[in-house]
Amino acid sequence: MGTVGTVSYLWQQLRGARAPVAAMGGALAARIGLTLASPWLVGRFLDGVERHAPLSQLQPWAVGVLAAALLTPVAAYAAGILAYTVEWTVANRLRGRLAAVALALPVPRHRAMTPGEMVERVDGDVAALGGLLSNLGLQVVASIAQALAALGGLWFVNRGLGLMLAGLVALVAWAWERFRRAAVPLVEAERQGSADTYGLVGELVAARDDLAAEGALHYAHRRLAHAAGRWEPSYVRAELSGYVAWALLLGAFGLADGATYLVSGPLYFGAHLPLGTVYVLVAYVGLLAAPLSSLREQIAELQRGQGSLRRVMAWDRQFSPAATGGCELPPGPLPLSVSRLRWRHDGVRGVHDVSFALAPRRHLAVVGASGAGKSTLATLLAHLVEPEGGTIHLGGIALPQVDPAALRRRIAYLPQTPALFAASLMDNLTLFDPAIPTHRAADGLAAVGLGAWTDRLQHPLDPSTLSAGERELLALARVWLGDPGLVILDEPLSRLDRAHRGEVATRWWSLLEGRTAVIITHRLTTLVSDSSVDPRGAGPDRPHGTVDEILVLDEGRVVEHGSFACLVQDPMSRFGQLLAAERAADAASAP
Amino acid sequence: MSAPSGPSGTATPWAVVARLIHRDPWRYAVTATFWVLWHAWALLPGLLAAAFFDTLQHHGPFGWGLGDVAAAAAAAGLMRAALMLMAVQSGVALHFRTRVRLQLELLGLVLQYPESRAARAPGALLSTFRDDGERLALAIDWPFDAVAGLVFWVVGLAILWSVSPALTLKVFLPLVAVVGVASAARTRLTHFLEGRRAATTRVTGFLWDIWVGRDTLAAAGAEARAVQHLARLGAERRTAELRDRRWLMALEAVFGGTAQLGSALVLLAAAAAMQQGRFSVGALALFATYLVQVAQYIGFVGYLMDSAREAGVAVQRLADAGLPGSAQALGRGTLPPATGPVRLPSLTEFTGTVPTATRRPITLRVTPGHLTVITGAVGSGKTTLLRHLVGLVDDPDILVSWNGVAIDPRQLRPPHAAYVPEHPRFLSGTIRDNLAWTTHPSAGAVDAALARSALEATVARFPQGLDTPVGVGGQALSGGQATRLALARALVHGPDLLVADSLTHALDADSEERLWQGLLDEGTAILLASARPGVLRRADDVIDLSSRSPRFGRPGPLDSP
Repeated sequence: MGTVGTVSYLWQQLRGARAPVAAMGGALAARIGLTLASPWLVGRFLDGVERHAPLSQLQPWAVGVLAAALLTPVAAYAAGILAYTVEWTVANRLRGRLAAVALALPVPRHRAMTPGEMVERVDGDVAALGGLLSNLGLQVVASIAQALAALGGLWFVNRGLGLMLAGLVALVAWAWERFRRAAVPLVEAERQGSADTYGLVGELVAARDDLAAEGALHYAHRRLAHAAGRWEPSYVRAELSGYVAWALLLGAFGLADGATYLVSGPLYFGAHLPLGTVYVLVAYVGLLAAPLSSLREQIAELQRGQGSLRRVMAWDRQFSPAATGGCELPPGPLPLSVSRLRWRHDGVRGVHDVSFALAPRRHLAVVGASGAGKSTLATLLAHLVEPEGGTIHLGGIALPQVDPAALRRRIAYLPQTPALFAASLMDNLTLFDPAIPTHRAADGLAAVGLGAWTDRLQHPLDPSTLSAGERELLALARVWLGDPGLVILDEPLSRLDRAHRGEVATRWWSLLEGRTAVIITHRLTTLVSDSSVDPRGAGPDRPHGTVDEILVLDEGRVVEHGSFACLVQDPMSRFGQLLAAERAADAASAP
Repeated sequence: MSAPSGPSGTATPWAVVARLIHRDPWRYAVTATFWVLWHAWALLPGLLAAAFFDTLQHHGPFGWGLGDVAAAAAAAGLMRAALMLMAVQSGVALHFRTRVRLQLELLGLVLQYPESRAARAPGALLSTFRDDGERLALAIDWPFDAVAGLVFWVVGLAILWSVSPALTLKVFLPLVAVVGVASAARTRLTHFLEGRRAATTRVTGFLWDIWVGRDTLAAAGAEARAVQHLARLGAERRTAELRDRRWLMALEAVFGGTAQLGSALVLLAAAAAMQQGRFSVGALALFATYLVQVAQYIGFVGYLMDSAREAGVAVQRLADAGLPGSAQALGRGTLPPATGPVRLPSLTEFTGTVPTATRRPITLRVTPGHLTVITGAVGSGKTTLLRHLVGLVDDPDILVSWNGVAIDPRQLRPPHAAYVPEHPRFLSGTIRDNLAWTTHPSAGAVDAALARSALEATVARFPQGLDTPVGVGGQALSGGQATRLALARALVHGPDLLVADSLTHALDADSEERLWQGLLDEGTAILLASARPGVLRRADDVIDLSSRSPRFGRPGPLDSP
């Protein structure tokens, strides 16, 4: 990544904020002009003193210095506030874009990254980058401008000294660039160490119940101390590299002072320069040092920003609107057909060569032992994961050709662990969709038996106060808000107690009525409504509270697929055996 | 104007800082010495500038010529650079280690009572680890920075006084007044800072949530809307940041203009004296240079005050993540006192209250080889009761006692008691690593635990067996596998009492049957929260938390199908 590429990237980030940037430039120019004017006015004052001018001629110069002193803070304040506004606008926009990139990452990469690491990259890196922008926007540009102006002033007063100091500044800048380049990999290693360590902290924090209950404090300490120990060397080296640039500047300006004395002293003795002008020279060398010294203060942060910038740019480049098909899905319940579906997850879980078809309005239960690939199949059907092989047709259209928005509107998917967000209850129900009116959200709550929560809709929801069952009910209420043609439920009732299960199941079945549904479950009795142990009693072809078809998965393969009514009566079928085993287990444990 | 601090106000960070310094005193002394020297060194350039002009107009100090002054200026610059590098060399490692120490301590506090009053969301807790840990680690610079600033001011003022007492008074008094007013204004900023931190926490917490809930968002096509919500939180954060920053910037602008203001005052006050030759250009250069530096050091004082208030907020937040009184523990470097595990066969009868708003009293018994089930409707407090029972919650209102004696519930720990949460979490590493958090179990113990938790066959099917990575937080495992691995993690200790939440919710019938066979055989007392009929049928004893008066006993007709 070249400097030019970096600058052009940063410049792009300022798009839409260019008017405040221009205003900021004006304020900075005013500040620099006032800063340079002040010593010049003092120089004229000293010239007057040397000429033994009367006090009345000296005082206007002093008043001029006072005026400059009073105006400078105003300009500095305006420039500072504008820079800060720009920084935050740009950084927030970037955070939004990176969060979108993160959410669009493929599932294996999502699973491999801890939430802590994600927060570090989207918030930590962008904060470092925001610092970089404000430094570039204010400190660096202003410092460079002031240094150039001071050099110009020196050149104007004395060519030789101006040239010499310009050479010295160029030398310092060259050395800085060398150090900066050498430090970029150091800083990247440091950032990686930081991301690794805080990724682990995130895991530890998330597992704190487990760790505390296990009494694993010492183990947790060892893990954290180990991660920090691996981070420390790169941290120390990266920090030091920032300070070396600073030290270089301190040394260089000692030399610059000495050189100025050596050059201007003889000129004064030779009467080539009045004393006031010598004073201006010495002051301008100081004005040259000051901005460079504020530059040097930003060096460490700049370098940290470089590493962050690289990571942000690498992520940002992946930002691409999802590839889209444009087909709308037909209205009403959707037929589903799956052919030779294949997907593997880290060699432990996956599905192999799964094929089946499901007519509209039919309800399919996917059953099997834990680890058989049921949840993987659900994520494939919900199109959260691209299959490695095989096809899925929904409503007669291959999934990649369906318009993604239509797909999301028409498929409802309830994952095994319902997710909640630190936002209002309303936002948690509608998933931040402002188009859904309050009364519909209230209906959804009532439908799952949480009608009492209606007056809390606009209140912030603290997920940590909800029980597992309440989480499940909320997630189920989300499904109520849409009009899906295919519903995929992953273990929808597993965490509910009996009382709620009966109540919710009734509503659950009425939601599924008239829709195609795939229900993942490992509890076969879930498929049989609690009231009817014998599922064949209640209706012409499908009793209320059961499914139409059963698909048995084992180690990722379909081992049986048939109608529920048939399989449930066949003691030799896989399903019949599984059901018998479960009932026997329940009966054996009965008192 | 006084800093807002009450009995529950901002905690004072100084005791913590003192303890942190005490942990590595020699490295601290070396770092401090170099930095103080480095700050004091800043007085030389002004003196040399004065010497230069004196040399031009009359005669320099010590009979120096131009060459001597120039050489001294160059040497002073190089020496200052060297001092800084030496200070940084020891200071960087000091900061890093101090921060790690703090973070390790915080981990200890969090694990002592995982559910503390503040920062329950993992995202917020992570931000406390990261930002507050770093902020407080930086605060150990405070003492020597303050000393260095003081040295600079006292010596600098003494030098100026020796040149012209009258001018020193005339120029510095107004400046000190400006600084005083501006500094007082700073103390008002603390509550802005807190608002800023809260706004930041909302952003990081929400980022955490959307990462965890990614599947839910993706399946609903709600990613873009979540990002918009993030943008709204970001805008609130920007407002909070700007509110704070506006004041700071105004103060900085005032401080930044001090040097020019001082120069103008010197010229106005000394014009007559200079005209009469009583005040030299060298003295003017000295005043002007020191004024610039005074301005810098006023900014420095501001920085010190900022870091002090930020350290105060950081201590408060770190302490909030732990227990009341945690601030007294921070910096000591000791782990929380170990409460030794109790022998359990002696504990058979538990008395407490239902941890819901109604707080009804309950009593239940555990018996070796028996399955005791806590049941009840959603929200009746099953999970919360278990969390109280094993000491994951610090709640003085819920009194628990065993056999009539109040014990510290944190004593219910391996090897005698073990807990399986409803959604178990693991750490990146292999299955084997995650079975060895507290002890290094023998191969036999691992095999036995896997067999009892019905995980043996599953692990045998994995190509890497026990060395299969479980993924970040255990995400590579299915729900049922995670539950059974957590059970194995508990059983590897051979506990007398097993406390488990749900346990079977993610299991198929076959796995569950094998699991019960392994579990119930060995004389372990099992206390399980569950509402599943199948589990209730197996129970030896049941207590129903949702009944009006929870009664402990054999499963009655209500509980059977």
